[in-house]
Amino acid sequence: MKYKYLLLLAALASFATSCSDLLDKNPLDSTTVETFYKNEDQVKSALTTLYGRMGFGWAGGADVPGATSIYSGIVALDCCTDNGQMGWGANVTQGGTMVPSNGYIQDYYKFQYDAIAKCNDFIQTMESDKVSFLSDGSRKQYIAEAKFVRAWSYFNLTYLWGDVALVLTSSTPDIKVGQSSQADVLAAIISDLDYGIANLPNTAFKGGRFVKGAAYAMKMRVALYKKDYATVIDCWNKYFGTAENQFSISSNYEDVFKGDNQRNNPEIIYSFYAADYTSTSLGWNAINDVILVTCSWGDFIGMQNCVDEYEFKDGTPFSKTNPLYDATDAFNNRDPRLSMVFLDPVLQTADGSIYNIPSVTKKTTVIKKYLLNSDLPIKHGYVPKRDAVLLRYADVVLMYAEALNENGGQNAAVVNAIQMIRGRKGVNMPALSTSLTQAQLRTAIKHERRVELAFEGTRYLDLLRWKDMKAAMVKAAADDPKRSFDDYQYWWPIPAQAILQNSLLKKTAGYTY
Amino acid sequence: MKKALNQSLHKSHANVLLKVIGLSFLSFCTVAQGAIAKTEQNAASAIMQQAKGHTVTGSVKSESGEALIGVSVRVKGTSRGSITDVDGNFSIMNVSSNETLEISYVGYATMNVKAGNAPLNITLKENSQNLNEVVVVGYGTQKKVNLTGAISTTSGATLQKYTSPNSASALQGQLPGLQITQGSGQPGAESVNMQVRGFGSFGSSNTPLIVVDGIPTGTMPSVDNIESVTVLKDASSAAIYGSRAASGVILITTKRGQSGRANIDYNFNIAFNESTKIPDLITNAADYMTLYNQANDHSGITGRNYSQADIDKYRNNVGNPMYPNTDWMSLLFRTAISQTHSLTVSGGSDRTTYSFNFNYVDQPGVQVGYSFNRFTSQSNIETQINKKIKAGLNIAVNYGHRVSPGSEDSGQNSLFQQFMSQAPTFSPYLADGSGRYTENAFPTSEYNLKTNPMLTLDLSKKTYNSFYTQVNPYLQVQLTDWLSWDINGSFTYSFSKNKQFGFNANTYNFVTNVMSTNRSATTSKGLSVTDANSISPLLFSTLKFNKTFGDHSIGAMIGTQIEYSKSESLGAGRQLYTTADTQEINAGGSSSISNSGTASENSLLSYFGRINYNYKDKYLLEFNMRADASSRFAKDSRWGYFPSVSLGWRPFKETFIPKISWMDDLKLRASYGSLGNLGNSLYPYQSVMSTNGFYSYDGSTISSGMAVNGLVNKSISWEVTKVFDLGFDVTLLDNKFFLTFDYFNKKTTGILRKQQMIFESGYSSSSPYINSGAMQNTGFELSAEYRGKIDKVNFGVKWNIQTFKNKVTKFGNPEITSNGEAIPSIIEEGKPYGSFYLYDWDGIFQTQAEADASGQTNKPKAGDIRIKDHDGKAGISSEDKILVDGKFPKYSTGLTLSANWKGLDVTAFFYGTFGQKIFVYGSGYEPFFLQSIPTKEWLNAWTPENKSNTMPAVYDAQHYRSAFNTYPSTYNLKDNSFLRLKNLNIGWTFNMAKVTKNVLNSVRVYFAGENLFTITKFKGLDPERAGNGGYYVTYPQNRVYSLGLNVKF
Repeated sequence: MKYKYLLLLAALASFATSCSDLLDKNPLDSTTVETFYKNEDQVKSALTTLYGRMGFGWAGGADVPGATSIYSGIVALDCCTDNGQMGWGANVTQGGTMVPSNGYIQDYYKFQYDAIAKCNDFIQTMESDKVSFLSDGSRKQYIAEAKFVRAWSYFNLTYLWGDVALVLTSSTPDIKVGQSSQADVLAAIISDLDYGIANLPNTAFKGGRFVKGAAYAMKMRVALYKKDYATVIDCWNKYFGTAENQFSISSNYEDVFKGDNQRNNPEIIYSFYAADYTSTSLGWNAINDVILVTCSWGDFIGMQNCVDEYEFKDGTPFSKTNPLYDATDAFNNRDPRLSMVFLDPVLQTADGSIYNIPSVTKKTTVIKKYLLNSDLPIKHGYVPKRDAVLLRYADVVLMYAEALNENGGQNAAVVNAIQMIRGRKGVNMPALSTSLTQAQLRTAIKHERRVELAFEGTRYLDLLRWKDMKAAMVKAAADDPKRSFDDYQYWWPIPAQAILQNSLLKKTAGYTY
Repeated sequence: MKKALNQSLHKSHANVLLKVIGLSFLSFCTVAQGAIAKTEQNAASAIMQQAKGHTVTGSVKSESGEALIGVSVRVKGTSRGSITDVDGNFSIMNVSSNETLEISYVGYATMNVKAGNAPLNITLKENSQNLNEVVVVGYGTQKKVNLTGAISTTSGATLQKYTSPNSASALQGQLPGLQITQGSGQPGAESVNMQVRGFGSFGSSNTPLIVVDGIPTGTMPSVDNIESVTVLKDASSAAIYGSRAASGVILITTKRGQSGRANIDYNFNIAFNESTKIPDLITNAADYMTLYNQANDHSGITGRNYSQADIDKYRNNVGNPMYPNTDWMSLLFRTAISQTHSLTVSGGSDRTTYSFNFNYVDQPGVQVGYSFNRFTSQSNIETQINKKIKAGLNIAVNYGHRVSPGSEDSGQNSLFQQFMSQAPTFSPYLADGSGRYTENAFPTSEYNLKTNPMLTLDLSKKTYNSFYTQVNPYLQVQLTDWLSWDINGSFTYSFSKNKQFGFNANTYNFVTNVMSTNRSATTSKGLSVTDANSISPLLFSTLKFNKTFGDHSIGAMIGTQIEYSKSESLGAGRQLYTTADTQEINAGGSSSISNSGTASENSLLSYFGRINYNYKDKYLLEFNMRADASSRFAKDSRWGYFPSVSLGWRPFKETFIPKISWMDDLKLRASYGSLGNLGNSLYPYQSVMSTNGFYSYDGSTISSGMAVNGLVNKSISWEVTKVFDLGFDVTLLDNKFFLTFDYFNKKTTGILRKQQMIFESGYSSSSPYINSGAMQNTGFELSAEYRGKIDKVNFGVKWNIQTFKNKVTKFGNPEITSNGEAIPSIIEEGKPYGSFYLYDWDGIFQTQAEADASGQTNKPKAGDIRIKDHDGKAGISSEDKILVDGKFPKYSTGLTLSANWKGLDVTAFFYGTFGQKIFVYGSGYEPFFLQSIPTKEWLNAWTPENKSNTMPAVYDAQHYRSAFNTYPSTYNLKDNSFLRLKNLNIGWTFNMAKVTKNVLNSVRVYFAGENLFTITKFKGLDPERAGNGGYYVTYPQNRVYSLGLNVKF
């Protein structure tokens, strides 16, 4: 009998022997953090994550990277201004939506910090000895690129929320941080961009990566926001106005945004390449299905208000009493950019050649800026891709003009700069008079920015920094009665959930939490 | 055309069905007779060998003197025997007078009688169910009378009254403490949600562990093969399953064979399924057009109203195919005829017993395009090798084949939604008979957000094939009469293939003759295929000790178990297909291909033990303990220990307590102990790099980014649930009335959840797992049963009620959902988890002046919803939100009424849950949401002429800023309490034993109905839904009328 018990005990014990092996299980389909960063390819794939964050973070939450830039970013932002309107809930300038519990505002806020944390982790690794296999030059270039993404994200935060939390190192689970003053945030942004100016290669834009010119252009945008006109002019003088400059005005306005000549266009300083993302997990969000969203679904449409901003071809403002006004086709005799940005209603013929435009948008203001003629008549389904231009030379020139004008006394230079844009081949708008006052020139620059940069995502920032948002919304309400704006809304509300979770944060003044 | 096709399909379906019934019945008869003839032959040869003794005759009666039919009478230790006839008589040839007869009958205590020489008059005693019944517990069985833990049991026979092919839904309402919600009526995907004693954790799964024949598994056997189901609810009974028992354990045993003659049991059921409720949409085109104009006017949308002339055309041209009044719902829903066949062969010699079950289900859906087929087979065989060693083998093999259209099954991209979003002004195919798909009728007014659903039905398809097999050999060694050793292994292999295909087609507008090209049937185009498989070997061994020393009876068990599981999946896809006819990978163009693959594994090592002590059946004590080590946690925090203790006292066994005449037995129970929960993640403590984001450096190829997956915490471990249970079992009125009551207090601490991290960390969505947070569920369960007899009618009443209160006791910062996101709720300490937190609906603005004065920022108009100002401050802000209860049901209850008289038996089962609310939105509720057709009640919408304080003005939910978006309110919160006749089963049993000379024993024909009626205030589709609420439109539950046949050989 006894041997049986022994056998039994042996059998029971045998389970335990293989125990340690049995219980050590590691993920089978991913690399652990400890074993990553073995070669430059891996570094580049970590960098890819950062570039993927060069977006706006709308339309589906923080995980949708910038591949959706045109759809959810630049056009959407302009549709929160007097340029356009949108059919979905992200429009924060619609009455009642700019509240601390707004999910889109929260997503936008989160998206920026998610990108920043990724940048911080990356920079910290690049500064460690884990990547000793990199040459010093390429290591610095990687850091500069990460810092650019970080600066981009912080700028998105600070121009909307003002004082925001400033995190520049890797996060730990028990991280505690309150808001820093906007001045400190802006200083950190400038410092990141200065690193880029020093360490990014000076070439034209290619390979999808940031170049020296991009760091300068971004720095100008930030400096202009700070009303630091000297720095804007200084950037111009050090780079864009020198032989080092790699960029110029495109001889065809439409080429900048679409078509075969978009890639390698000399005007583009940075664009988010729209490859065919349909095979990725991004799904349809990524296909830059501009046609679908701008026209067919009526998600994004322009405003009459914006259409009317376009002058007649002789430079006179739009008015129905102007002799150049053509009652049968209001797009006739206008600034040529009008027909390049909006679809002439006359083309939306009764026979329905653009028949899938729903009645809500039909014969109003279809945004054509990102449509090719071959996209028409509008069809459902996949359309060829086009890149989302985030920084371009025309913007830089107008920023330079604005800074010059604000400094005063340089009318000729201001007018010359503006004329680089207005006089572009194919646009050929007459030059402004050099005898305009500073205020008149200011108005002219604002006008030029609006018509030149329509639906490129800069209008919201411009209206905020000029403090013109309220007036613009009053006008916009004529087209879209849901618009409203109060002065406290010059700052977006820190999301209610952020306040709930972080007791160090201050609520944004004016809002009901 | 399509309609005709459907009808003809139905017809041919019915024909095939009838043939199948006929054929299968015939063939089963033949098989059965053959088998029986053989058995008789064997018996005859056995008789030849023995050829001595005499014929024993006798009759078997119940205590009440009623003849018992079908009682098994067997010569002990042999395979000779017989069963009683309609008069309770039996006779067995060639029995020697000193042999023993074993008389057994379900529901009665088995008796042994010496054969003797005279005719026998045997009276069987009814099993005093609650006292002598043996129930399955973790790693063993136990007499119910000795139980000290809180468990619920039900027999397979009870469940088999329920004809649904899904075993889990058959459990609904049967087992107090087990809450079951069936979310959908989709065949093969009923989304049955099971929960034991409340919502225990917000970090981990709340699904109970399911153990079939001792093996933890994910699949339940088919209903007709279930012998019994036990739910372990408290720590005492469940602690033996340690780290996975926090959400309760469901133990299922499958049917075993009995020694004696072979039993063949064939079941056939044919069921007519229809949906319990179909949305009542406007089908009159002119009415629809008028309402649409009304909605546009209210919403301030101009330029797309139907002209009066167009409306009149529809009004005045009824019957003209150019001006249809299409009832799209009638094209979507059908009466589906499903059938189930089940065959069980069981029996055995005195050494070997067997049971083979085969089950086939053919279940088309009540929505067109849906179907489900399933084969299930379970084979159990057991043999006594010698006096001491018993060996057995259980094999389960299942195959499922589920088909649905390529669209999603629920929500905004479902087929249902597509059908709802088609105007009655056009029909699915062009009126010219060309078979072309209609786009719409009025390009200026109607734009289809949703493609013509017929295109989806014709050109897209999803199939899900699953194959599951489990082999479970075991060995039981009786070492001595007080010590036994069990070793039990199992190997499970499962494989599934998921295919999804979508194709494009052109649609046409028959008024303008314009074509829309490439309208896609689904959101994803082309074909994607995913193969997934998993293996899980498991081994456990136990040593059981049982000995009585005088008045002391001691039982003990120790054991160890080892489990491993590995899952792999491989996916591939292509997008470019030129036809919908070929739906395989290679048929697609190779320029747009994708693939994916992954694998994961985990393991668990455990030791466990149990001691029970019983003094004179008076004092009962039990101690359970399990130690688990899981690969999911780091080395230092890998082991978890789960002890429990329970006590029982039967006061009437005490001499100092006087007997009460009407109380037969009372047992008081108390238990306390801890259980664990592993969480959902397989690798929660490991920091890994994973793909994150995409970017293209060259504008054509896509690079995937790599980033840290999230922050981690290496010290995490199990979450622990401590359960205190107090209960009693009473038997009253001469063993006719049984009552069981349990109070529980269940506290879960160290909930394995994601740490709350501030947004500014950048890791708020990928924060580490930590053990933090606590939740409490308290409640009670009561079940009562009375079994009685009036004249010749036996009847039974079984009633149970269960309730729980949920409270988050530790959470951290409250979390509130944002406007426009999911269900407006708050997670806050002291409140039920995810309580409704929303604005308070306060009627409807009757005048524009009222609306303007409201301070509502959505700029309401007269006819819109008014929100109550709760905080007294001007305007409506988030401070006006209120907490509304109703997140969890207040109680749920089940009532079974059964009766039988001679061959007639009737069982009715009512089930209800009360006090739960759901937040509804979407089509069917919001008018013109995704261009959906409003329900008829909107014809009575608020207008200046037709004022109402409950029904707002009609609007276009797609374009109008209704209060719903800005102020999600109680207007959308609906009470979905319901009471329904879940099941009704009426059968007649014909005793055929005498007629067919024991070849055919009995035939039962029955009618069964499911969800025959429902009492509810809920106006949407089915009030019963998994999770609570959300989308108004979900695949509805089925109302089933079925006819069945049960033949026993």
